[in-house]
Formats: sequence, structure tokens, C-alpha cells
Amino acid sequence: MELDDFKQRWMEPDAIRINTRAVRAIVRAEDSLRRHWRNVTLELILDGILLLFTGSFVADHIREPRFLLPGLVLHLAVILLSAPLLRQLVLLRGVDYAEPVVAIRRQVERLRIEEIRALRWTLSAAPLLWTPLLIVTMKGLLGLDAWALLNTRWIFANLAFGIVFLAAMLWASRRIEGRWMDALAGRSLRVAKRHLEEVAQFAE
Amino acid sequence: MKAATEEDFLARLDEHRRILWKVAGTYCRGDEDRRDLVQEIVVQLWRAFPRYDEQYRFSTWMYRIAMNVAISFHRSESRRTRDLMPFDEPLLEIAAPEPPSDESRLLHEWIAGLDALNKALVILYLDGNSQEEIAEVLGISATNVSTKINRLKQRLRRELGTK
Repeated sequence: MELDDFKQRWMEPDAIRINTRAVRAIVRAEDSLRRHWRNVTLELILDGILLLFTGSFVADHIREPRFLLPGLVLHLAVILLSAPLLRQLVLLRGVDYAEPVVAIRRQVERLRIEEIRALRWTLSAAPLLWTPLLIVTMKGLLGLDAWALLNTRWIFANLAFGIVFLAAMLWASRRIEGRWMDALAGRSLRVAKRHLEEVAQFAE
Repeated sequence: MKAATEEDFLARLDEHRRILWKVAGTYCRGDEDRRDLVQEIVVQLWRAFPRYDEQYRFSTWMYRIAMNVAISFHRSESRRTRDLMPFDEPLLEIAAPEPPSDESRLLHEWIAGLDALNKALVILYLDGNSQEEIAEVLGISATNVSTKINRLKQRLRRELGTK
């Protein structure tokens, strides 16, 4: 079987036609595909608000370690979670589909890697952030001292539960497949990196 | 002015409708996915149309956009399809397609098994583009194109030669 044998058959005219009316309707309402860009921007705005909130919380409680520590943990977490989003936004803005295919494929794979990293960070951090979030929210928004209101043991038990929960999730992610599990176990990141290597090899 | 642009766009799209058909048909297997991909390609073409530079061939520009969208679509199909606006009418209509021969079916299955960039290369080659034109669309050298096409021909012979 030879590739050139198919050229003739491949190039035979197909009986296709453009549905002009449908194309007109589409081009007049073409803004429906910007959601990904919009979602990333919204997440960044939210992160900006959280950053201001936790930053001001840390400054207000600089001499109170019981509030300073959870405040700092949250502040750092917001910074770490925002970084991949910011990089995604920069990459998204740089995508011009009229560029050569190999260049765009490289950009798309990089974007995918950033997306997976952001998801992995979020999933890993979520069970551990619940306790500091509770302490900071109660104090920062309601003026309540979680350490005094809730039993200290209860707070540490929550923290320990978060660690056990994360360990269980990591264990499960090695056995169960799915978007979140693949990201947590690092499978999707490996696949995306392999795709990026394939692009580099193709361009050589 | 906008109406004139729309008419111009529609005329060019109609002239090169085969590109839409071939790219969507190669990157998507199911009818619904194919229809969604055609819709997404048309939207991206329309969005990029004001920046189209007349000094380049329209087909080169259209191949690039169609393939770039197809590859991105292919990599995140499930998420993208949810983001598409509900639109039931197909943008491309085909009159009673003939059932493919066994050889054609085998070739299409073989192409479906290639990675996204090699798929693009095969479409461009089978569509009769020169090595320089293929190189321009893909963004690699013409020599590289020639090497890769030869490798693909050998691979096809090796994998389907006895069938």
C-alpha cells in the first residue's frame, strides 16, 4: 500500500457545500468561545482580592503567632496558586492561530502543562488549607478567635485530618483514573511533557 | 463595509471548504465532534480574518488556523464542546457520501493513529501542496518536510503493506 496511490482518491471533489445561512449566524454571534480566557481572568481577580485580604491580615497580626502563622500560610498559598494562572494568561494572550502549526502546538502544550500544574497545586493544597482558612476567616471577617472558641485539639485534629486526607487522595490517584486523579498523580503532566517533547522532535 | 467583509469571508470560505472538510474529518471521528470542530474553526477564521495579510495565500492561512484549532480542540475536546454555543445546523453539508472502499478505510484508520502533527503533514501532502507550502504552514524546513514524508511513506508500507 503506497501513500501516493491515495492522492488521487483523496483529491477527488467531495459533494460538500457551505451552509451560508448557518455560517452567517455563527459569525454574528462569535463571542461564545472566550470562556477559558474569562475563567482564568476571574480566578486571578479573586486571587488578587484574597492576596490583599491575607496580606492585610498578616500585617494586622504580626505580633500574634497564632494568627500570623495561618495568615502567612494562606498568603503564600494564594501567591503559589496565582503564579501558574498568571503564566496561563500570558500564554493564552500569545496564541495566534494564524501562526505556523508547530509553534502553536508548542504553545498549546505549554499552556496545558501550566493548567495541569495549577490544578495539581490546588488539589494538593486544598485539604491542608481548610484549617488556616477557618482561623483567618473567623478572625478577619467576623472578629472571632477560633483558638478560643474551638478546642485547640479540634483545630490540630482538622489539620491532621487534612494531611491524612491528602495522603489518601495521593494513594487513590495512583489507582483511579480521571481528570483530577491524573493531575494529582502526575500522569497528565507526564503526558503533556511527552507531547511537548514530540513537538520538539518533529521540529528537528 | 462590515457586510462587504462578511461577503468576502463567505466567498473565500466557500472556495476553500474542502480544507474544513478534510481537517475536521481527519481530526474527529464522530459526526457531532466534526460538526463542533467545523464551527470552532469557522469562528476562529472569522475572528482572525481582519488580520489576514493578502500577500500570503488564503489557503496557507486557512490551513494554519484550521489545523491549529483542530489540534487544540483534539487535546481538550470534552471541555471545549461544552463551551460551544448550542447550534444545531451543520455548517458543512454533504450530499449522500459514497461508502469508502476497504483501502480508503484502512488509510483513514492509519491516519487516525498518527500524532497530531503527522496528521497535519499527511493532510497537506495528500491535498497536493508542495514541500515549500507544507513547510510554510507547519513552520519547519522544506528538507524536514521531505524527510518526514519519506518516513511516513515507509511507515505506511511497513504497517499496511501486506493488507
